[in-house]
Amino acid sequence: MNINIERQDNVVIVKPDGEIDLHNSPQLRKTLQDLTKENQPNLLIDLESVSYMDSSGLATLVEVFQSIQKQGKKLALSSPVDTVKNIFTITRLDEIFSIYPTQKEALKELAK
Amino acid sequence: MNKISIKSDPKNLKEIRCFIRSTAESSGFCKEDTDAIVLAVDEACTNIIRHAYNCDCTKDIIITTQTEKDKLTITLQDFGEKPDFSRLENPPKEKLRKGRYGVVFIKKIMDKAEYDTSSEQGTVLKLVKYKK
Repeated sequence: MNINIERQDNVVIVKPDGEIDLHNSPQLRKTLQDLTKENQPNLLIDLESVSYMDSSGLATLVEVFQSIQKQGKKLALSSPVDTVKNIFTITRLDEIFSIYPTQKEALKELAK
Repeated sequence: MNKISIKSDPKNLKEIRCFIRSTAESSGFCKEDTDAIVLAVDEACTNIIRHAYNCDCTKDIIITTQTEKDKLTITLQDFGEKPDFSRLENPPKEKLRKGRYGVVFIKKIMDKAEYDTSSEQGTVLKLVKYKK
């Protein structure tokens, strides 16, 4: 799985590409853990290029959410495809995560 | 009826998803239901890999699919440790937790999820999805 990382103003944007499951969620987990350890600013995970995600991906996002919260920073998700959006709906994690339809909208909210 | 035997390596989950997607599509399920069935089976296989086989990548998972006029039945057989039903039947209530979402997906997506642990070794999980 490719994971693209870029920095824009006060936000680190992480953009994984592909399917997130038990096989490659550890790679995403490690990337996110390293970023949160470095006392990075706010985090945006852009899911536009994620075509599939299961509970292992979800658990990874929950872990980084809890870590980011402890640091008093913000985490946003953006651009999930319907299949991915549905797993947040089924688990009601859409009530906890800030999920935006586009990266632009997510960045706007994180800048506040 | 279609049947595949696949090793319990997480790398194989993608192949399993492709197999199930193709089966659900040819059974006549719409995209939304197909996506959901793929997720449920993926979660069931993930549970087998992690819990039945304790992440041993060398074990066998046998997946059988049966399409009928009104439903699709998918059975998953493993030869590992039997599930802890107290955990299966009582998933944690808190939304924000680091695991145990897989069982939630299986229960919400599939119309039936039945575990048969009567054989000496392992478990057979039968998943049924009815066509609308």
